[in-house]
Amino acid sequence: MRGRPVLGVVLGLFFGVFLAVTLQQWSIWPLDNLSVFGLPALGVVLGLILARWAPFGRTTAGNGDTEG
Amino acid sequence: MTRVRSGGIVPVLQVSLGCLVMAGVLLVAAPADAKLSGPCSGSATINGIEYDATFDTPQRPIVIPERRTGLQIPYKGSITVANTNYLGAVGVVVGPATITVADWGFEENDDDIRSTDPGATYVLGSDLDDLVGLYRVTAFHDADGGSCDADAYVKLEGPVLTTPIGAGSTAGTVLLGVGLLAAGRARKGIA
Repeated sequence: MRGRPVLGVVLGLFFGVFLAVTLQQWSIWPLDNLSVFGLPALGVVLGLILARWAPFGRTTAGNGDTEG
Repeated sequence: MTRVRSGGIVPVLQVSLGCLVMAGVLLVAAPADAKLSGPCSGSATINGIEYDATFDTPQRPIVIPERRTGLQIPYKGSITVANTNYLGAVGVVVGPATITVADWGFEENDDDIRSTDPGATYVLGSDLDDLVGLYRVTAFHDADGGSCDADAYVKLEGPVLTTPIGAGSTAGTVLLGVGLLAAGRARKGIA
């Protein structure tokens, strides 16, 4: 995994929690089981996908080296 | 220099699929809409709109206006069975929990009053002034003759960004979203 999976999981989890509260505050969706559990779960998935994909900070060099 | 991955894609897929399945189950298990069940009926009028049990989805909530302190809400309700030794409660749903915000009964009574007084009006206090957003509210009323259950969605109107929770959650979501992108930043020396 080229990215940062631990960072992805932690931030994805909190991103989902905050998104659930934000949707509730903006009267888009209430704090039910779907948003309270589903959005953090999807945040974790998103974090892992980003960590796996790692689209940022890549180099095009063929030797496998990357830049931080 | 290229480093060989030790974990590969399989663990990532396992975790990802697990989360997706969990989210999928929650999607399927989520209530399609709310309802009123049992031998009860009722309605309340807010700003000229009469709300009854059909206002039962997030897209069709009971709307409480921004200026709500002192708002007069005429209401009526009835029950068609013996209404003795009753008890009931109203709660706000937060995830798997329900927070009770009002309750009644809990004492023996034999009044058997089956409808509200004509012209009954509830005057809203200032308790809700600092709250905005969409809430799922549930209620029950148990009596000797039967029981009723109801749930509805209540929308408290108001400027979201002026409340601590609204401003904090919105800012937090944006910041965490940006921070989440950092997980997609390639680490040095790993292909």
